[in-house]
Amino acid sequence: MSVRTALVAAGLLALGAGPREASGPQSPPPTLAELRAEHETLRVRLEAAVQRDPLATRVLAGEADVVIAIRTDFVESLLAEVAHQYFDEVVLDLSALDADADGEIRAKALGGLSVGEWQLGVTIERLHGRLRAGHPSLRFHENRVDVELPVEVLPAPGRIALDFGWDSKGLANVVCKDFDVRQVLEGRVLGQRHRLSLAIQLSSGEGVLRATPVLSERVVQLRVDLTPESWASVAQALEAQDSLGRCGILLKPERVLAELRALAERGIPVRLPDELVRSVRLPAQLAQQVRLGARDVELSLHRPALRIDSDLVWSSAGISAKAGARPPDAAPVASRAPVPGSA
Amino acid sequence: MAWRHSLYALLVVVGGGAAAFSCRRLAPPPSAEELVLQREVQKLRAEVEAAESGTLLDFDQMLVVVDQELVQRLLASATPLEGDVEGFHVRIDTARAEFTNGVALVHLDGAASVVGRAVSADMSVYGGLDVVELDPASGVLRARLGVYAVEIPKADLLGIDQPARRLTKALAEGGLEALLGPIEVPVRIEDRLRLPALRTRRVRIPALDVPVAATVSSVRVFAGRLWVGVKAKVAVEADKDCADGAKG
Repeated sequence: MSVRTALVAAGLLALGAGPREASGPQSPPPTLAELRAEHETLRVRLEAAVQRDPLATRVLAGEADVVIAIRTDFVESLLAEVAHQYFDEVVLDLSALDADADGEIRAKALGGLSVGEWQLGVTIERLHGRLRAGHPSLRFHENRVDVELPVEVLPAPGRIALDFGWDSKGLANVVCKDFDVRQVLEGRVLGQRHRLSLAIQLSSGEGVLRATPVLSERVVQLRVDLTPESWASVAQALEAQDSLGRCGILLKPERVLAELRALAERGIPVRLPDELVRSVRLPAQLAQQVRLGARDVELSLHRPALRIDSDLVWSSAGISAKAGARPPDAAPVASRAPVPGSA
Repeated sequence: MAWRHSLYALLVVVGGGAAAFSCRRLAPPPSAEELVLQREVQKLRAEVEAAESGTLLDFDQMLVVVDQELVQRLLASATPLEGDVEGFHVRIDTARAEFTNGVALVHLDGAASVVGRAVSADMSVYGGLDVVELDPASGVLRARLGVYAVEIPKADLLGIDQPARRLTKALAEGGLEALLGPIEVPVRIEDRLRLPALRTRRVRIPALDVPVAATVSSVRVFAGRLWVGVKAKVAVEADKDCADGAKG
């Protein structure tokens, strides 16, 4: 070194903070030659140890400018909390959902001939389903996470429309009139538990690690029921058709009621809306701008890559930088007040 | 930053002509190479010990690895850089980064002149990314540059020997940081995971807000890279349980 001056202050650093052997105050500081020798020995040992480290060698083989590795168990805990919170207070408007059933009535007295067909339609006029989520189980599978989420549907009241139609056939058609009955009744969603299956796809674009859920099963059978008063009202309406001219005598209202109860028990198929699931950014991101001194430095990412192995989610990219313009009023920036007592 | 405190303390000792230092006055001050080697040896010992015991990359939840070439490019994009420090005009023309030997070494070359005087001298600053942290506001990973040594080879010839000592001290005690600022690394660890509320004809979903507590827990420097371990946890569950408990 051809240093002549100006190193005194910095040299003091070595006296105060440089490495010291713990051999006591008499031990002289290592000479430059000794430092170089120890430095070289340590460097070689470190290099050899690094080559044996599977994680280090994996990073070094990638040749990316930035690598982010996230433990999968942390990603799991994060996504589990997200899924739990996200689905915990969801309200679904179930209006206009419908289900139907139909059947055929055959008369023994007529040798088993069909005397008519009935159709039963159930339409939800006004009902909101409220979901509460349990704690999900997650399993990593290549670039995606399979999620099983227990969801509880809370009981909720609403209005349900029933449409019953009778279509006479054959000989019965001669004497029986067709008829339709429509009733709007007080009903409710029953408290029930379901398991939602989701696949969360992990992706990396523009430096953003994103988790995008996709519902594996979009249709849920939602069990509903009528109030006891509504059931009585339905029975009464069907029995009112139980006359010779209306062919209710063939229809057997109790049979229709049983079909209706079975339909409610099976549930109304609810197609979960697309907007129910949304992608979310994971908290570790590659930034596209940094600030150095008074300048904003714009960055562009190259070869962004995402990889998942048994215990790590890897995101990496090459990065090129171009300096942004320095704000005209920002330079010079480093003026400092004199240190009291400085020479 | 212990070394800064040590530097300051020793500068005070030198300024006062303390007896403890007098025996060393006979020996030439350590060169920049020596100062850097001392730091690297100190760090290398720790890295080798960790590497040979299999704990070199024993990170918690996240590991961020930054290539020295990227840091060098970032620094290059910020140069030339100039400003006034303690009565000096300092200009940084080039920057090099070397992350191979336990220390995230940054070597800045430029010139310094006393404000108001025409004469200037070439200057080299040897520093290192000593403090790596997450910016509390933005979550951006950033590093603070500590000064290990400043060389102004012709300071005596140019007659700025004494002032140059002040410059060294001023750069070490925040002047360089004021000039360059913290070095931001393009990685952001956000402190929460958010989704806005959704209200459509079919669905009502409240806003999602999952806090994530993250801190830098380890820093290693080897193989041309800065290896930063980050400890992170989802902070909501305990809080929620506490809140529920308090309600109950």
